[in-house]
Amino acid sequence: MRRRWVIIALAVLAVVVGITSNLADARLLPYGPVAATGAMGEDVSAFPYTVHVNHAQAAASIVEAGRFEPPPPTTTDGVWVVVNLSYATEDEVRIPGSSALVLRAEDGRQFPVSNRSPARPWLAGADIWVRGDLAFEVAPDTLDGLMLVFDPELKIYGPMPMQYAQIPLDLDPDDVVEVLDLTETETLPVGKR
Amino acid sequence: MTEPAARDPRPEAEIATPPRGVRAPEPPAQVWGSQPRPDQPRRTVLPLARVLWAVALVIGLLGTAWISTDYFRTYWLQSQPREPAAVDANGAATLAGITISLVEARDLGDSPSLGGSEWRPPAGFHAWRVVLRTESTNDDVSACEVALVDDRGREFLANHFVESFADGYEWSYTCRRLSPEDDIGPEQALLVLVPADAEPRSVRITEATLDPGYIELEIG
Repeated sequence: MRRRWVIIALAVLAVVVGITSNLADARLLPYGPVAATGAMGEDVSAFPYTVHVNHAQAAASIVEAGRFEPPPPTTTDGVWVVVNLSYATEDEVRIPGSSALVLRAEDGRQFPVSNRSPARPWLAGADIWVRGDLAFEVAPDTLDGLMLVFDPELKIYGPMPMQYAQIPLDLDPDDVVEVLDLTETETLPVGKR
Repeated sequence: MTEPAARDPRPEAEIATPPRGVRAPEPPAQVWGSQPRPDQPRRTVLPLARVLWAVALVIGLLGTAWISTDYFRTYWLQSQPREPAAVDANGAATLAGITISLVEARDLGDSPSLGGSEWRPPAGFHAWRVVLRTESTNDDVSACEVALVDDRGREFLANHFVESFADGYEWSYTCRRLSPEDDIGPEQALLVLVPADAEPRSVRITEATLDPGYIELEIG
């Protein structure tokens, strides 16, 4: 009888330890990404990157940059949102992963960089800022309240807690241009964004 | 009802008995699960169930340890400081059959004269020229990464954000064994874009398959 109570007590102890460690892991320890909310025109930290959104524009179609003969515009069933941004790193040459940059709607829906757009995240260096366009295809009803989220998702040591950047785009749902030309990436002079 | 003990049919004289003065052989060892004889010390017997519990416990602990150390094994060990290859008296370091020495690391300023190119660094940046002498017997690697490391630990990778086709400069640093067909000399020059306020202190040469080893050559 006594042995049975010991087993029950050990099982309860195991469950309590598991719940406690999970709670501590999720809420108390100073790691795990936390949002650094910025604004367009500001440098926002997403270690080891710093990102700066210059402007964003909604469009019905986009045209690829850098071609001698521009291809026909690429349309979408939704709306294109083209974000002009620049970023640099704090330590070395890096390139964000394909899922590091997304647009997040107010209701939580997320829209990655479109595979139908030639623009992809690009290399940046330590304090070497590179600017370019990224194109996202979003649902038309999400334009109001869209936010750029830049989460490098790198498991590296840095300042704790790790931060990801979120930057509201302040898009006007009624301001959707017909065609938007994408710009090529450009390595920026010191101080430029 | 018990059977009477069977009698040895041999005559008593044929039964092996030790000669006088010699000790009789030891009785057979105690078998697990049998009762010890009263004149022997009692031996601990492990029941099968207890052994299985112990095995299950060890397996569980090992599994938990393996899962909980995933971050440690995957990332933490890799993030630890690595030891560069030793640099000899001639300023050369050897790693995996690749011997490299630094011939030159020079600031070309904000308007370098590059043959066949009018490229200029963006405002606030300088171009640096890095020349490495290489002797390699390594056939497993192809190109190595070369970076200038400044006093703040920032790494500026060669051949990025610069002109790729300037005369006299390589667009990639070849560190494998050279063949007669290769149009590469023992010295290779590379371009590096560096902020004007950076103070490069060393040249770091890495290659993913050589991790955690690398070569670091101080700028004299």
